[in-house]
Amino acid sequence: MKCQAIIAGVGGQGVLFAAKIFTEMASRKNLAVLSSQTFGMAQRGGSVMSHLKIGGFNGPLVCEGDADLLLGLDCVEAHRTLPYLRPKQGGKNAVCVVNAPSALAFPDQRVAGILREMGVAIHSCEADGEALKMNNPLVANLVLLGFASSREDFPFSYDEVRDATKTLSGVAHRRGNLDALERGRSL
Amino acid sequence: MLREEQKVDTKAPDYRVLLGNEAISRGLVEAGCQFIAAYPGTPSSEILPAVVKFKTELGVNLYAEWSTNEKVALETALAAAYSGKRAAVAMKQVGLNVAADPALSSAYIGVVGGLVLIVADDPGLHSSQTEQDSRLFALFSKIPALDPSMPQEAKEMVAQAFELSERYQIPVLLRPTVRVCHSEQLIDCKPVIAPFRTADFEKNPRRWAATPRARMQLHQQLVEKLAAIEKEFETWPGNHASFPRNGSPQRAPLGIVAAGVCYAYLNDLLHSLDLADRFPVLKIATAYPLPRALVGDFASRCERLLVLEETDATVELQIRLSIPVWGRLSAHVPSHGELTPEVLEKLLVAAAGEAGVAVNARAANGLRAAVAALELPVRRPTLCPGCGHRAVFYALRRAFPAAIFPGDIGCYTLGLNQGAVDTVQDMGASISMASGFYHAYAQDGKFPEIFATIGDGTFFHSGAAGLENAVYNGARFVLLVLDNGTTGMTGMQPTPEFGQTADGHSGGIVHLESLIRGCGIDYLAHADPHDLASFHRTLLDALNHTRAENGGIAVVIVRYSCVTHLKGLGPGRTATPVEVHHGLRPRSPGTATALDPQWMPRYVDRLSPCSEACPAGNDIERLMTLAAQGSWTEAARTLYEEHPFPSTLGRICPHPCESKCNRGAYDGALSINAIERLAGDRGRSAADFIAKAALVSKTVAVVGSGPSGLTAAYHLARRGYGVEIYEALPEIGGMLRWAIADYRLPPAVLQRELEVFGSLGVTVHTGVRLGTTMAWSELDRFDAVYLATGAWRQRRLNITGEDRDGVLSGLDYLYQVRAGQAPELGDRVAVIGGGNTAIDAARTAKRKRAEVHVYYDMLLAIPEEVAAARDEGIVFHHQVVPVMFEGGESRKLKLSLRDLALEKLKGAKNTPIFHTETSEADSVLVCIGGDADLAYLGLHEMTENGKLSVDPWGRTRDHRIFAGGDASSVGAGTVVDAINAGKRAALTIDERLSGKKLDAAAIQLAAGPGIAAAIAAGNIALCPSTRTGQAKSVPGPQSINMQFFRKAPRAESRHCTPNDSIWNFDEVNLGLGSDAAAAEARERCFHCGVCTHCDICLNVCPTAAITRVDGAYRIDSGKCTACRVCEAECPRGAISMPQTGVCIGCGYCTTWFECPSLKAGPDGLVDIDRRTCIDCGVCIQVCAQGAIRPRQAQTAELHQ
Repeated sequence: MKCQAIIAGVGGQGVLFAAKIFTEMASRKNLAVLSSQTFGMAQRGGSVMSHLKIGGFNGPLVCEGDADLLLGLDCVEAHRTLPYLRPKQGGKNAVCVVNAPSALAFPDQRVAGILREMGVAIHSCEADGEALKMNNPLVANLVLLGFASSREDFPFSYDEVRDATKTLSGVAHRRGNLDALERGRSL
Repeated sequence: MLREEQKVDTKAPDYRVLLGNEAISRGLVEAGCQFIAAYPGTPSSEILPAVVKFKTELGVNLYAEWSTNEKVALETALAAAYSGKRAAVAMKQVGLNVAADPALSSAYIGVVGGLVLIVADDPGLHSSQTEQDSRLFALFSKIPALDPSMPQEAKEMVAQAFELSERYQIPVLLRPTVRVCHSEQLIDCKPVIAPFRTADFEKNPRRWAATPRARMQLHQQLVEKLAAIEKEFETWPGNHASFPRNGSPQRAPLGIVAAGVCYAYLNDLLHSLDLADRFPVLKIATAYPLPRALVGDFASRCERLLVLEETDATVELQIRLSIPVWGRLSAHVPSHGELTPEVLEKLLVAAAGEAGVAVNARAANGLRAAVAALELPVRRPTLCPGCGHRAVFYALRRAFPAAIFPGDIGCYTLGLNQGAVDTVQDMGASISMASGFYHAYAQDGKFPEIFATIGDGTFFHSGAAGLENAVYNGARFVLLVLDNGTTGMTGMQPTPEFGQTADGHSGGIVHLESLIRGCGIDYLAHADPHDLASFHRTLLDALNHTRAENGGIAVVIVRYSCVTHLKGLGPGRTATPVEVHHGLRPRSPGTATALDPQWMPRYVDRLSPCSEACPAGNDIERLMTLAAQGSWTEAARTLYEEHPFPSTLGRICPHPCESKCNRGAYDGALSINAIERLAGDRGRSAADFIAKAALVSKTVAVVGSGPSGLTAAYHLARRGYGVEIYEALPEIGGMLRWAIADYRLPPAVLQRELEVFGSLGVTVHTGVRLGTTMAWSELDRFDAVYLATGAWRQRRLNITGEDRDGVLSGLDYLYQVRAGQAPELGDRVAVIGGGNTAIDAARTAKRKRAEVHVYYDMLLAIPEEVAAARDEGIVFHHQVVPVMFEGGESRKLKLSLRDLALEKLKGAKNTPIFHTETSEADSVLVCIGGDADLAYLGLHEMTENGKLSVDPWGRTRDHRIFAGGDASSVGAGTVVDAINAGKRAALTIDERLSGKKLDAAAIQLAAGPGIAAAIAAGNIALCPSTRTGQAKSVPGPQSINMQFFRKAPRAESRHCTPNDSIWNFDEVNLGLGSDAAAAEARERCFHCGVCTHCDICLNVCPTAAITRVDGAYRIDSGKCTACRVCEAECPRGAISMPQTGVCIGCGYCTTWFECPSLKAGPDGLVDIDRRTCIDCGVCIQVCAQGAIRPRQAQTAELHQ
């Protein structure tokens, strides 16, 4: 399996943790994985992006126009990283899963047309709202991941996501994280 | 040869997903590194902590230290390498600049144990100041450089580097770039392979301490080493060429040389562009010395070469061929910016095309352009919510908007966003630059405010050298050391401040304060920025130190925990949840300004509390302004507008102004009384220049020449009326002359003040008593009569023995002393009463050599007088009153006294049983007040309760007769109240006689007793501070920003010592010297409510809406956002602007406080983002409209 993904969000949303889940899933399947993170002053800047390349790749960065998957934990960052998405290839659509404050917020109508032409499959949910309902605003990233993994076109199964999350979560947060995944799946 | 899909057996030992930096760390530990020294710097910071983690895991004896800077780190590690151990150093590219000195020297000297110098470059400037290429540095230093393309390769290169380093006895540079450092890859972790060594430093001064001659040999050896290394690199496994399999014998149109991470990108790119196996590719892992033969061989099979590498043209520069070499030098590759896959793709397609190779470029889909057109908000780096740095920079900028702010490197660099960082050069530069700025300006005789900021970590790194120099060369500036106890930006590494070492080995503490003082700093203060007002005060103190004559550099340590490190507010800080209030904004549609006009700022001078309190109507604020300049004559003239008695009042007034002085709430009220005295004493006499207005053909009679009558006469005569004074006593002055003792009011002083009546042409009749020696009918010729006959009839005690010989009226006694007819009092005198007359009588008796006792029920006299009397040895008996006087046994009189206080303790006051004691005295002076003697009124029905019945302006029922002072129902009690009465009467008499309506509201001084005669006379020039109108509000202490003012004690008048003064009637209170008085007025007067053009509003306005035009301030309503900061910052409440209490969307907080938790909505109104807010509460102090406030508990929370 080969998959190139971008996870985009704002510092503090758990972009790094989401990326870790992907690398964990990949290594469980004996897949080579390369990822690239944002640190330091770049992280203070708010915009945080992780690149993930699963399968036989050499360089850690996804090239614009190559991403199979874009996971947007923040609506503005999701828009900003849209150029990474690839057009339909070999019958397979690129997938875009976004945490949007409302159904209409993503995608902006000025880019919706191009995305349609490119055949990008768009799934959005109000992960922040759901996380708030769970009184745990910091698990929005996992709500989104749970939601994403229940879509057909997501490269990993819900169970794979859950197992990886379980392994990576500290004891204190495990229950909350798994609940968030479950919540996302049900949306 | 392209890499195949990496197949890994994750069940076999030991594959882990590791960061590139962690892979390097793993490589170090596995290769037997025994010593590592590092300084944090993105993107290298993870290396050392990962080494510590692995060494613990593998149980390896490895010394790890965070060094204080990169130079120190390299020197430290070199010693280990000289001793034969494998050592490593890690830093970021600009850190190598700091370590340059040992790096260059060590190339010549070489090593014994291998030394790997790990330097992480940052193409793309994600967190650095330069995109410098450390491989070029290696070329410059003449040490080999290895350039890994992926984390796994970086790990493998560590062992190779050590081995190379030991074989050639030369340090080796390992140079990963940020994408290698911060990428994760599955890494093959192995056990430790290399043996460990013990330290064994073999002495060899010719090598280790080489002087220039020996160095020359070493250089020669170095050159030889490099040649040998280059030869070895020709067959280095990491360097390999691949050619297309169906290659034709002809030269390929384009061959690609790729080094480092570019090689990894290239592989993926060729694949995705469907160009795999189309181009010859030469991978270069050894960037210096470049294996030129290998490159030459490769090039012989190509028509031209394209060189792809980060960060600069290191490999490219070393290639000298006859075929074209494309790269940065030929502009085929951009010379700035990161070579990301997108950039590489573009340039590869272009180069291929140029070489004649058709390449199908990726189809454009316009998505990039469409996203750019969205104009998404740029998220710039910002401090974390609750960060203490934010409060510091906010306070700095607000207090000193015009200062120069040299800044430094760390999280606190982000003070940029708040306009409080002007320069960021390199580590530690803030201090040197502050020094440089100082000297550059001082050379021209200019001394701007300079506030430098540096973090604790940065200070330990390289601040001391700059500070030593600044002290040594005499610079002056304020340095703030922002001590959050950690090296924050790079990931919370420890600093020497707590002695916490990288791997827990025992370390020591470097005390920051001692280090700073050791640099020669005298002024070292501590501050907490979370209380902005007191922080402001501290900064002002520091600034003053830099300007003081014996001053110098001021260092302020600002200490708070890193909230991200602590994951919350630090110890000792309480969470203060806040909320932003939204509500109806006072803005009408179609208004051109931010808010409706009455909500916008206006300069409205207000009445100072001192002036409001003054019954004489003195313009005290103006008096202070003139006194500050030493303009005593002008000061006197201002006072003369209101009354002719500044020298008198400056000696005897109970100064209610000082009780209301706002400075009293800070460090002591202004010495207003003494300053008024000095104006009267020093200014020219009123007689010299108070002119009389044109004569009016109306006349006024003033009966009684006490302060009330005299003041009335003064104002009426000035207005041109013919004034005649009728005085019963031999000389004019009333209580001033006859009841107030010489030691308080010297006769010469009073005489000088009375001269003005002569020059005003006032006719004085003395020795004339109305109703006795003068009939009422004699007053018929006057158009108006002012009765000011005072209250001279001594009140009686109504006790037995009151009329005995030796019991005297205090008032009578004082008069007789003045008249030179004083009776002998004897040795022991009892004074009955607690008012000012009692004290005057007592102190006079003292000067007549008597032992004096004062018996009183209530002590109403001026406190200073009582204190002076006590100092002179007069004994006070509190709550003791006489009940009977009889003949005494040893003295003339025996007094029976009643102790009221004791009685209260024992029971009701009016019971027949009461405590008595007796005392003997030679004389008793009764001073329990006087009543008016109004017998002269005859048939005129104008009295009420024994006083002349008047309204507050002195009018009686008879429209021709006016009255005031002690004789009237309004009463006076003190001289200054009498002056007020006389002034009011004069103005109403003028109104009556001239027919011109008196605008009482215009001259009323707010809610005070006094009125402003200057305003009534239309003398605006003499009182520029607009004091008119009763509606004017008066600022209390809370409207003064005390932090702008240095504490300074109040100037106190000098006094004769009691031991000297009791022997005569010379003046006891000697007042202030004119310099001291001027300094008091100049340095300490707040000028409450009056604009003094200090320019603070102009400087602090965030939108530069305030300008000064012809000395007056103008607010540009187009620029004013109604943030209200000018009102908040005005030190003295001279700006009037009501507070809305709701967010008006002015943008002030988001611009200058700039906290991510303060989010503006699309309507510009701000709300708290509770997900990120950590409740530090500082923003409450930011909003001058009062919209940000502590959150009220919700009812639901209350019920929990």
